[in-house]
Amino acid sequence: MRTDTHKPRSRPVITDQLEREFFRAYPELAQRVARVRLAHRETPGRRVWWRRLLRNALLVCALLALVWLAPRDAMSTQAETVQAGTLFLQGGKTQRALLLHTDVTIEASGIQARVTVKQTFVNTSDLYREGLYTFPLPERAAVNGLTVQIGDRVIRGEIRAREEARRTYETARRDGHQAGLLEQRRPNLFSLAVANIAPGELVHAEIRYLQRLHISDSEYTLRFPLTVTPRFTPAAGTQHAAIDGQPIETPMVDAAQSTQRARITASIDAGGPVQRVVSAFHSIDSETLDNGVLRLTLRDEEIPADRDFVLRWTPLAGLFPQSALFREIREDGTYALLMVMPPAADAQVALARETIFVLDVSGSMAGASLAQAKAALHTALRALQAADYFNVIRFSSSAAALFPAAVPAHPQSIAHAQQEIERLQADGGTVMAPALAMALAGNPPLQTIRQIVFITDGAVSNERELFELIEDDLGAARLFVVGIGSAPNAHFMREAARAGRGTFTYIGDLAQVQAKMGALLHKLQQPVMSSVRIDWPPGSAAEMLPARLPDLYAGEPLVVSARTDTLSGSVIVSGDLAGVPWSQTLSLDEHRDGPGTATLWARDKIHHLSYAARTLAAQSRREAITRLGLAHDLVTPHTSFVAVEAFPSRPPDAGFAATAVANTMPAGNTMRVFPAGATDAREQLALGVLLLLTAGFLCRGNWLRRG
Amino acid sequence: MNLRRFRVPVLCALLSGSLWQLGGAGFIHVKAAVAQTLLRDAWAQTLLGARQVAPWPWADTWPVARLRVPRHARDLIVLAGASGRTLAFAPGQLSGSAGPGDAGRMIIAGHRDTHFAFLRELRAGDELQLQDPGGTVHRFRVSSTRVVDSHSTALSLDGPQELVLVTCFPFDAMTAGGPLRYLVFAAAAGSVRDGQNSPQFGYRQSAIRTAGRDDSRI
Repeated sequence: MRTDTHKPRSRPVITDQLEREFFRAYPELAQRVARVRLAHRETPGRRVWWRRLLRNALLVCALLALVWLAPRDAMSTQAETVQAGTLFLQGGKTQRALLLHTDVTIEASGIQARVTVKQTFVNTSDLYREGLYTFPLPERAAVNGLTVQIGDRVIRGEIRAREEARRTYETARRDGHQAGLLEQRRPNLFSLAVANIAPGELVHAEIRYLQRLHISDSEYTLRFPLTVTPRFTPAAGTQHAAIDGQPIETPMVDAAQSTQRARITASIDAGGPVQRVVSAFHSIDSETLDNGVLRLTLRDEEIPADRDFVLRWTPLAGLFPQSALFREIREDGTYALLMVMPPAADAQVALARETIFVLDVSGSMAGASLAQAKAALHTALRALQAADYFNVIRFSSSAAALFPAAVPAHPQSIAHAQQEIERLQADGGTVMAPALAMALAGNPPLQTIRQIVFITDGAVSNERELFELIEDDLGAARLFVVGIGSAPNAHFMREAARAGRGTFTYIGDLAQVQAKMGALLHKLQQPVMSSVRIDWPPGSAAEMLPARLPDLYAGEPLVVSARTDTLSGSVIVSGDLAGVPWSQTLSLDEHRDGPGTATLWARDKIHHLSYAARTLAAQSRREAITRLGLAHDLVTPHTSFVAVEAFPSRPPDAGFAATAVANTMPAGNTMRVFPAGATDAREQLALGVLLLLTAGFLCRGNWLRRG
Repeated sequence: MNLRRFRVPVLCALLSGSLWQLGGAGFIHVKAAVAQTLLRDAWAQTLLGARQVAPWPWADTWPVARLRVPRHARDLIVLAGASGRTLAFAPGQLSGSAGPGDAGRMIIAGHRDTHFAFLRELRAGDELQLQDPGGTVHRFRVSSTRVVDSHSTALSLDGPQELVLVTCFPFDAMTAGGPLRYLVFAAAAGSVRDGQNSPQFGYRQSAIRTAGRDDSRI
């Protein structure tokens, strides 16, 4: 038999020799071994049977799998792919009917900017239409004007209490009058409704607002938001969610399909030469006019409204004002706006820190946002010092901490954190409160200061609840907010940072991560100006905002607005800079006229009232805000602009329909991206079968045949 | 050199590799099937009033609806969220899309080779029944199917009540991760309040009411 001749050859020769010797010496043992071996060896017939079965089974399996894997009636379904990439939603009822164009004029002067936003609606349908548009404005924008121009008629908006304005508008709409209504939905989100636009008619709605510029490190920043981050409103267990108003429901369309375009022109009067002006996301051209004003225009005439317009400029070195005082006198008082830039500290006081990173991994962060957030977190982790402690908390619908408590920043724990961060994926809702509570809980290790670095796109709706949580539980900690994505909810983040006595850093794309995080980390390690106070002339009554002056990190100015009864005297600003007392005196006589100072003070006051939930009853808060809104022509949660044409223009029998104008989806936001719809099962199955077939053929060609 | 001595190791490697891959593929299918069984309990509790019932202790998702397709005898529990992790167990409702019975689009995603393999069989007019946690069964009729490129398409979540089922396309592609998606649109066709809150879909035909559409909203 082949097997017999073959078998010894397959064994080590020495073993066979030993065996032969052994069997020769013990013949009876040799017989028993032979019997056992015989019993365990299949007869040739049986062996062929099971090997053939195995072989056939393998082949059958492989064939079956191939048949199953082979594309079934692929052609019939493929015929529909012609439509791949075509937008099927465009025919939907929110599109087409109204086109929209936004014209923005920005006039920056001193430390504030006056912005005019002209929105153009075109009714392309054959029905009388109502245009509805929800749009963002910068946080703390003081919206103080609305003009609606329909055809050649211009209607000026008037400020009214919210309910009254809405009633007026609805009556006008019902009776066929053309009308406009501008309401505040959230501090940074407004809605405009225009009723009875005739078929084919053009409507221009002009909205005017004032805002203060953001100043940091001798640099002015102005942001014009062009789209809204889709918000997430947690459903259960949030008692204040309803107070913030109804959930935001704005249709979103992809930038490529959006008909929305914005045209932006800006002028900057910095009171002197400007060293550098940068537009963060759009190419701009600039020219200096005769009066020293810098005039900026977009290089592309129009830009898609899919990411915010951000402008930054720096005055010529050394020309940045160390202090500025603006004044406006109205019948109801004198208003002042004060800006003081504290000197840089010389001393480097290194304090060990406990840094808690809180990372938003909710669905709205998916895609580019999460990549930026991870990069930011990695940068921050690398900057930790040996004496520091850290922890990482991730949250979406729920929150979880990487370590049960903050751990020393040893290389291995940092490496572990980095690995875990890489594995995070974005999905689920944005339930921030538990994550914040987790970060604020307990006490930092001895001799350390706690800094919480919160990385999010801020897509939440229950803002006030979160601010209260921060204010209540902050203790000695500081909250630094890092805004991610192309349209973060800057209002929420700035306010969260304010409540957390920290700062807000905005990162628009991956390329900015290093620079922005570097600046923030540098700031975190700098000594702070604390115990800041302002003394007004003796005997004067000044109502100052913010009421509680913040600690100042390096490069940050103190900006205060006030209503006072004093027209002269000195204001003393003082503080404690890394243990060294500092003070500066400003004379109220050396002021500049600042039109809009009163408006900005009123806006600050309204803001202050809005968040004074625990010190003021809802009713008196509402009344105070309404009074301020009416006195200063400001859109507030309780006052709106309404513009109504005197005569009806829609015939009573003409049809009427409402159309919501969709916002453009922020660039990089992937809520529009469809989830993956396939598993690796088929690929794995194919690979498995392939391997099995190979094994089968190997058996067939060699091993089995020997059977 | 005697190449035959490598035969057994090579065969072993091939067989174990094959077993590994086939096991992996099988595991995906087993997971998809077994999870649905576990989910049924969680759904029954949900119908009895519990909220966000985790189907297994470490789950980060919960059942949000039950989807039935009578013509194709499909009965699936839908989970919250549409991450790859969730979709391994059940079809998932895209977070941010409308809930069952709400105005707007509800988007449910599933894998084309497990739960949503039957989407290719759906034809216009087929009925889909979606039970919400309150027990109400919302009926939808397939209105159209589309293939879209997910890189260049946005899906508005606004509009009238509508159900959109999403899966990967082509159905027979060997590898996962392609850009095409197969969408099934189904328009609302009335709803039925299930009085007993029972996990079953028993309902009285007379109780069917048609969902009205309100186009004059502000």
